[in-house]
Amino acid sequence: MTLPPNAGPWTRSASTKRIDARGIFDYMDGAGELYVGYRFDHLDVYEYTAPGRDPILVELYSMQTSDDVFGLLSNDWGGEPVSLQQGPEPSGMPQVPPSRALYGGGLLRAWSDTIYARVSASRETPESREQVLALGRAIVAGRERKAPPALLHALPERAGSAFAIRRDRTWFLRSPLVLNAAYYLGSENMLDLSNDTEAVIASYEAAGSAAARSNGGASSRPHVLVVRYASDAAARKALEHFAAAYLKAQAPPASAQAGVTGIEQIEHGYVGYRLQRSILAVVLDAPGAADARSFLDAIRFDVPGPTGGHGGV
Amino acid sequence: MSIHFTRRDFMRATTGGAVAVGSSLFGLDTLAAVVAQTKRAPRSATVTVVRDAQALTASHDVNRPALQRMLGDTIVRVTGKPTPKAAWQSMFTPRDVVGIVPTPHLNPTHRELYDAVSEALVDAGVPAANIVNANGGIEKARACTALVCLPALKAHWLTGIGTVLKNYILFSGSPRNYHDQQNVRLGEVWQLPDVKGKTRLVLVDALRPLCDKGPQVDPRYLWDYNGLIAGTDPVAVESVALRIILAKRQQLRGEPWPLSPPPLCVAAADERYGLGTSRTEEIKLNTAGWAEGLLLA
Repeated sequence: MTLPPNAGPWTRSASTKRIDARGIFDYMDGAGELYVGYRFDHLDVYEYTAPGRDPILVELYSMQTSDDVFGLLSNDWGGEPVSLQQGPEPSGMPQVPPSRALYGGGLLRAWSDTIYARVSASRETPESREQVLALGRAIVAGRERKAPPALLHALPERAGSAFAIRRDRTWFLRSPLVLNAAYYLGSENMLDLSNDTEAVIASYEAAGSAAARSNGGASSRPHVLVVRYASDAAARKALEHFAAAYLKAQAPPASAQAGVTGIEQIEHGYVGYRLQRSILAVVLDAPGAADARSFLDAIRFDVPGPTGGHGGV
Repeated sequence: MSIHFTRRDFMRATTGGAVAVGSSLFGLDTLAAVVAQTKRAPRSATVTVVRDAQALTASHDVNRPALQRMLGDTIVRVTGKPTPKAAWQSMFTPRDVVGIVPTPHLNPTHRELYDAVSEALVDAGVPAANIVNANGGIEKARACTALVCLPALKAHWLTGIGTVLKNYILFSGSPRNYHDQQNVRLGEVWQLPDVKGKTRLVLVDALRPLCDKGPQVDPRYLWDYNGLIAGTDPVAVESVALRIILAKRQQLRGEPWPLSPPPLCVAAADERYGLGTSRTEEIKLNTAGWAEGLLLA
């Protein structure tokens, strides 16, 4: 990718920094796990400078797939949605906000196929905002707008009449560290997440009511987590691991055809799980057993695979 | 020491009577209940919070005269001495080699604060040649007779909160050993022979904190708190810092927004390493200056 030599009064430095997978931890002061957890390939860093103004930094993270880049954006749906490309969007997905680029406080974050762009002005001004967005448009120009990860289709928009999805709390992820950022499950990787798996998690709240949001107490809103593994056997093993690490009961033997379902009461509410072939769905913090079942019944297990195949039954 | 925890450990802490039902799942009292091993004797600490609405300009630059006044007020309140000079002299002598330990990354300590501390030490009689930046390996701490822990207030991707306790992580020589759930062990760095007992002052740069954890700065989560937080008990200071971060996160989202990984290091530094107190009821707050947005209700 060739970025423009100028952005208003800012001029691109002659030197570009290329960071590969070995260097990402040094670049991030030890905190490279986020990007590694989304199948990081390399990072290109550009700096724009202008006399009397603070610099603008452009970071272009190249990931293996568009899904990974979507996942990075899904870590935080906050900020002002901005449109960087003209033309029709690929078919929308009701489980997530429609944004491909978000701006706030001088920072632009954008999902563009396999590139995750961070363009930041160290001091936000109307002029820097204009040029940050101009650079964003230059980055995405001519690039394909891929659809969000297909696994998101597994997440129900509603469960029964009681719960509705929080679109702004829906994540795509592969790493246990990212899962814990979305929903702290525990320090151990008890669901065997890795870069060979893909997962989505969403928070749900009582339909038509934001009352639960102000609850500062120990209870939490229900969450639905859906993980697709590389094989049926890997999914089965992950369920056994999860049951041993988090639940009281061992997971019962699975039937290859019907899968396996379990619902268990824990300290605050209910946990439910359902395994169907390579997909494991887990419902967390359901207020009642019936709610847990309602969520499990609403989850789709027949979603297309990331390359167009079908991972579920 | 166990370093593995699940969400259910926190749930049990809030339902098993260790803390009040209705307490936040990842709040300070829950963290303490999760890591506590034995009943300990009561402790007490005072943490000073001084704020000035004029400490930063509209463009977030440091107002040096205002910062100078805040620093003087802070050190007077920490020591109970009548003047800033007397206060610094009560903590450091001309024979000391003073290592100032700022944070260089992810919302770094303001240079202006580092300079103000250094100048105050010189004014108090510590030779300029005896004042060093001690951020780095253990040899830096070894060369010092006294340390000033001078981090900036921030949440952190690897340790939940990355302020006081994490500020000495490079002294360990193996920072990765204290990331993620292993942040619970951060207190042991403060017990290294070349570190233990040397920290005379913990002074947190809370001029413009970062309430989300990164790994990179998102400017939406920086805000002008315009404060300094100080004390001699590192755990108490960190505990107050954490309360401010958690309150700001809840304020932004309108709902609890817990940190991940849970900052167990704070409670563990108290309950397991005995470095100070993390318990709100044992910490006396001494606040001064700008009251709006204090976040310590």
